[in-house]
Amino acid sequence: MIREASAHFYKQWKIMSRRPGEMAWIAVHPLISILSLGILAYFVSTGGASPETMLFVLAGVIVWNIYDASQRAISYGITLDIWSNCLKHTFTGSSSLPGFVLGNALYGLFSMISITLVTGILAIALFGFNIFMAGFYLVNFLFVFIFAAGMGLVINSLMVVKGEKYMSLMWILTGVIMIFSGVYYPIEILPGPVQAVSLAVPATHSIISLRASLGFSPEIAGTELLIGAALSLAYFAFGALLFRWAIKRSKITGMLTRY
Amino acid sequence: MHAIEVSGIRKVFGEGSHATWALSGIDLRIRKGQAFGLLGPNGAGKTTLIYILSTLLTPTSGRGRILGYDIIRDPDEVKKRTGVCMGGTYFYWDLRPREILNYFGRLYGLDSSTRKRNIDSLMKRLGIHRFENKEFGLLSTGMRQKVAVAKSLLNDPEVLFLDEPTAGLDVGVALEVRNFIMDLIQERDMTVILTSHHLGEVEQMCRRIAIINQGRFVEEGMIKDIRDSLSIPDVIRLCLEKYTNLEFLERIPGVIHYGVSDGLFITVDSGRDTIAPVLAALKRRRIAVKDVEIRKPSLEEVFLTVVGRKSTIPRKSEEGAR
Repeated sequence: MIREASAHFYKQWKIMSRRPGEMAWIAVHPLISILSLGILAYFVSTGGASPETMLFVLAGVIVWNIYDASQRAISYGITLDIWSNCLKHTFTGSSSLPGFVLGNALYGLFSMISITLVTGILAIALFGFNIFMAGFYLVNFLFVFIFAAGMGLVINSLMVVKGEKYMSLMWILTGVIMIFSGVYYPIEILPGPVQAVSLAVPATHSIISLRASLGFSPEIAGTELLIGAALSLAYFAFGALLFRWAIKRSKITGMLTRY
Repeated sequence: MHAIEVSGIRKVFGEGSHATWALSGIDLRIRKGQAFGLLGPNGAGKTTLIYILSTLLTPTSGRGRILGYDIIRDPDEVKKRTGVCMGGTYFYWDLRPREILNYFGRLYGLDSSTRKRNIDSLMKRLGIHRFENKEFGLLSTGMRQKVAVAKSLLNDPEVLFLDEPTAGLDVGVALEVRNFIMDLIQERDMTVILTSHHLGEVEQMCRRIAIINQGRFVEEGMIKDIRDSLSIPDVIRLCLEKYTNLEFLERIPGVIHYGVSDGLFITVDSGRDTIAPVLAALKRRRIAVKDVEIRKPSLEEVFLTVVGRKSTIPRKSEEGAR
């Protein structure tokens, strides 16, 4: 399984390293997010809002970038094969599900660490906001990553069963998650039913836990961390089971041989 | 022991009124070390069968074993021992040949030294090393297909599935690829299933074939036996001193028709039975014979007869027939 996992990591690393645009995404996209939203938060806080507003927003921006990069890394495991019309070849190799998930997750982890460092350092340099002060609660990033991997597997499942027409979900879903997980605002401002949906999204709890640990309400940081962790693991398990079913299904319908 | 055993394989795509039968009960046994040709028109089910045997498709019903491993229950064991090469293959456009092979070598679980040894050897033998610094997207069709062939052999497979491996290649590259595969089959005692539209290629590489049409095997056996079992006329080609006043040939029993085009072509029921009376009749009329050749039906003629099609290209004997 380790060699298979290394194959998937190797593939993503080699392909991405040939695509300067994709590699730049890791650095440039977070830079744009941090700059644009950080400045917006700064503007709002100087206009009378609480000084913590900027910290509140920046913590959310960092988490969202981590989610975005991690989910894309998992989805690219299948997307690159569909783009290259190479999916069937991957599955003629001994491509087991754990090997596939681990390999692409490792690349996602690499992206996540890169994003954390880039955004974390930029936030310190530009706004004096030190995300690393969260200490132990930085483990929330790991659970955001696990949640993102689960959602990546859900998208992969749709692509494997229904084809490339579901590929755009890879980009759309990050936006949907952003709305529900309270990246830029407290979920309490959302209407009641929407709040219920937000509470079912693991990233919501991870973000609350991270913000809480940075001084917003430290007493709930631990509880929210545990809820976020449990939900993330549940979503990941769901994604993995769905992907396993999707591969089986695509072998029946012939979708696996189409690309 | 049979390397490949298939019984009652059926494959239906879709459901209800949209259901399409791709395979309707395939039985097949191939001994270890045998090269087996699978012929059929487009959409006959050749590739579907290859996909099922290489575990990319699940059959609707029936069973299959490769080297004793069940294709549904033990797909990973099957994949470790098989190689698949498809025509018109695409790989990752941004990667170079060595990187593509490295990726698949890892997928097959090869350790780094075996991976390097196999990749180096295949790249050298197929001449891939000459373009190893080019990205796949920049390679010619022939170069790409060589990478596909190398990929299919990376894990030293005991069973090799070749699905139109020379499709789209020019004559030179196709010959190069074909000769390479034939050398390997002999060297490694591999079991091979080959599908191809180049019937000469199948005849060159395989002694045993099946002709599949509309999801069923309509003929299966040794090429020679199939040829003999079908009443396809032989053709006698004669090189004569002169080609005039040959009407008497029509009266010789067994002669179906004749024509002149770069020699005298006589279509006969049986070349072996008819050659003697033909030569005797020519001798009686003092027509000197410089050369004689009896041509058995080609695999193409066998194929067209079995799948119930007539060739749109007239044969030489028909071109000159009066």
